[in-house]
Amino acid sequence: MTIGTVAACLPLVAALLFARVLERDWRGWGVALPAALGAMAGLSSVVFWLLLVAPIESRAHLVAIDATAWMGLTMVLAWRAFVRGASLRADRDSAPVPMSGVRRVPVGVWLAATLALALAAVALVRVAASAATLPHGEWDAWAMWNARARAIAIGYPSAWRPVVHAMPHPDYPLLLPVLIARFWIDLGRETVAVPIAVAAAFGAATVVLAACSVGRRHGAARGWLTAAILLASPAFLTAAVSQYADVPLAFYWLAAFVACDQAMRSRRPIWWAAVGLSLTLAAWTKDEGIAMLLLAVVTLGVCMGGSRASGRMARVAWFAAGALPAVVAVASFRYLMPGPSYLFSHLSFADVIARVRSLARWRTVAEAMGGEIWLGGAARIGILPITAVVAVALGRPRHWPSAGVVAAVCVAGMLAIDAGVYLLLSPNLVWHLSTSVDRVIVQLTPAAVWTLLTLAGPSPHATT
Amino acid sequence: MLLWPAATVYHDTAWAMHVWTRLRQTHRAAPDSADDATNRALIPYLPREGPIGFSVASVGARPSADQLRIEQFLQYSLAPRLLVLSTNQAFVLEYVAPDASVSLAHDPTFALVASSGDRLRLFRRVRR
Repeated sequence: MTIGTVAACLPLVAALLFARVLERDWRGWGVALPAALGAMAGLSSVVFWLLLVAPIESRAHLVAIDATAWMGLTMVLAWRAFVRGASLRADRDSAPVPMSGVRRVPVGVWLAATLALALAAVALVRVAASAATLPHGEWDAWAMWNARARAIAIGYPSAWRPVVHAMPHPDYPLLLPVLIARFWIDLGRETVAVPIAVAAAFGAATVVLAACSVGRRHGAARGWLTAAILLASPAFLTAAVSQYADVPLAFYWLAAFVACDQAMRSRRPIWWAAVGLSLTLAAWTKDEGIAMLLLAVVTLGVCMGGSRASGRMARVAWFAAGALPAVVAVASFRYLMPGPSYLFSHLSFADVIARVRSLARWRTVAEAMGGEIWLGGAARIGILPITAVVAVALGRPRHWPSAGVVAAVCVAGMLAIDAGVYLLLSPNLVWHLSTSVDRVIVQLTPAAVWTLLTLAGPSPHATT
Repeated sequence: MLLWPAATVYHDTAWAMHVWTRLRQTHRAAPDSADDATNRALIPYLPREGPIGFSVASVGARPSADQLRIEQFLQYSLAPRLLVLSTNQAFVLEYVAPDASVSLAHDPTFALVASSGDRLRLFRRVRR
């Protein structure tokens, strides 16, 4: 085993340890493990980006320094997990022994689980078939993300920067290309298996994270139902197998809301670091992440306004600590490789005023976004209206979960921002909508499903 | 109700399976993989980095969506070389469209270095 293979695997080990740090109870690993995997994948992209732009002249040194950094982080996390493990054993020794006996699994759980597993099997076939027929992904995947990854992996140390800067949309952030390039450089060969696996892993992690989070709060039946709903989304599956960055972005937004929920419920401050990390990793994935970051910070600030000042400061400190690495990555990317934005490069104030006054633009945007929210890639009705119906049928919650409210405000706000971008900034509206509105809705779909099913009334099988 | 969107998922999956089965029956690689291999067959004749000229031997001044796709896929295949839409480079890749009436092959300032597939030719500038 070479040092590159070790370096490639170390974030996986770190993710297992970070999951242990996040969640001491194995039953909570359905939430902690996908959250930790996504966090460490994003963090590996951040660390590697900083090494790419550092004055390191050889590929071997790059891999060695990266491996050393990850070994250090892994040791820190192992120490934290070991300390937590010791305290867990002490807790377990003093905890009352649970009563033994066989619990009957309700019929609703069986039905929802059967539906979810059947849809998961279909999704697995789709991933395998798409990996064989579209190994390089769809157009935007190879033109934007995988082309940058190739330029970085093959062009390091000197040739990659001008090429990446000259590619279409030079302002797009680099989480996905750097993550893929890191694997290619570490493994010493470039294989399409890496972007395929990365895309599939983000898609699977999104489904598992949403399902387990809803399941922990409202019981297994609703957790399985959440998985079934996401797996029944044609647009989500298509985006996942197309290797687009929209599914990683959707994952990080969902992870931020789930971490927020965990932080508010468990009162463990490490989850606030996960909130900050997830939101900023979203900003390192796509530009939309910056808008959501600002929106979430304002919403969280308003929601926390009534809490005690000392507790608030501690939460802000943990959030900032989690946010710092990806903020450094985004800031250094903007500073070192400034690129014009497609939306802002030819914008004038007169254009904006004319577009606001155009009723036809308002109608076109509303029809396109409304149609996509209704259908989501399906022929008659998509998962979002179905989830809304399910949420209404489940009734009002006894208590409004704060994280659910934060997520609802952020998802609605992001939809409004997306609509505003189309309305005010798009120079070629019909083409822009036809090529991107499906992905804009996919970005918000997991968070919207999670929000609706978290906010809706409690299940009779609720667990705490 | 979930069966409505799930039916679309099933149809999409069935189509992907159909394409995969046909590719296996005919012992062919995925179309993008075949294009990538064709494009990368020219790499031994190209410098390791730097700009490479690109031109489409075709009629019509505006690049079509097809031409844009060809150019961007070539950029993907040949990265980290930088493809520039110009013939004013030491090496120029020419994509010969089916309707092409002019080509660098008729230009005495260029010499053919290699070709790959039916449509892709690599020229080297021999004099200014």
